[in-house]
Amino acid sequence: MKTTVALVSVLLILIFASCEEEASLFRQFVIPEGEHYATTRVVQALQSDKVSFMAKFDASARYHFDESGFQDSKNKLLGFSDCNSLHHENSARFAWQWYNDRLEIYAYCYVNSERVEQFIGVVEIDALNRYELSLTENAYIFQLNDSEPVTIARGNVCDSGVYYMLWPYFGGTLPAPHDVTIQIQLNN
Amino acid sequence: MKTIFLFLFTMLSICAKAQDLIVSAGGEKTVNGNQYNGSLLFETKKFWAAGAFYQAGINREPSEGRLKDPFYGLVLQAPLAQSERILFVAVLRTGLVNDRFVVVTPALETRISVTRKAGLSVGAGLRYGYPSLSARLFVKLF
Repeated sequence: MKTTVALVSVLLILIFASCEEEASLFRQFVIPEGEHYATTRVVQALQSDKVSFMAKFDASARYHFDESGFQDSKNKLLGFSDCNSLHHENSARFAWQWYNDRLEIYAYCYVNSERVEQFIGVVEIDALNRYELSLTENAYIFQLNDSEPVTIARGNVCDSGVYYMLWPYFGGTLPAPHDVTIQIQLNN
Repeated sequence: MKTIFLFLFTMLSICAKAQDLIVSAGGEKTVNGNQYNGSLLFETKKFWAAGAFYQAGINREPSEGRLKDPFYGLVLQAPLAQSERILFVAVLRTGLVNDRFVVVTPALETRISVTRKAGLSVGAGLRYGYPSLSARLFVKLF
């Protein structure tokens, strides 16, 4: 038993004191053709008042719908539902769309069940960009790289409760016209 | 509400039947760095247990406050398998992170009794959406 304890103790010291370079924490989300939801499906609760992440779109972010009216439907990137609310009641997310031959990023919120969208900026295909979404007492603050922050007023919600994370989703109304791949790494 | 009631009812039943009071202290290696924790558990003869825990990391930047992501709440333990000195349990911790965000974290732990009253516990769980490793020393108070 003493040997077991000694071995376990050495193992624990190695685990907690190791200086090994951290593994890449990028997650690859693929929205398959004809689907809205991405795989991998992740269930996670928000644990701080700021979501900061790096994301990269590849060439699969380019798409064209036959019915052009759907081209400006916002696809969701990442965000969270607000305190004890469903995401169609109170939530804040970054959204994106391929429009006018460029990849546009939006702030996309539901505030007391009303949808609010605001243009943030444009990103390049295959470029890694930093996204930050902060939660304050009265607002959601979106920032893309070092651009001017975009502020959207928050609805009437509680303070302590369940805030669940919202992950990539294609649409809008129409599903992904082909496989769409997005790389995301959360920074905490 | 029903879930919370059921959870509290289960915990109360466990506390009422408790045979041991277990104090533990240790750490958890998460994707966001090491965190340190302490807990107090009431455990029945059949190794069901319930209690409270507190866990936090330590910020390197003093401007962000001393403690990082303080996490406290209730813990529930269910036995899965056991031998004379080793106990394998499932653990569910539910509580608040940063006084605001409700979080539920599952884990599997192996408890090794070194003496009749003390031992160590190692486990693997899920924190911040990624696997975590934990280790704790525990003492049975009575």
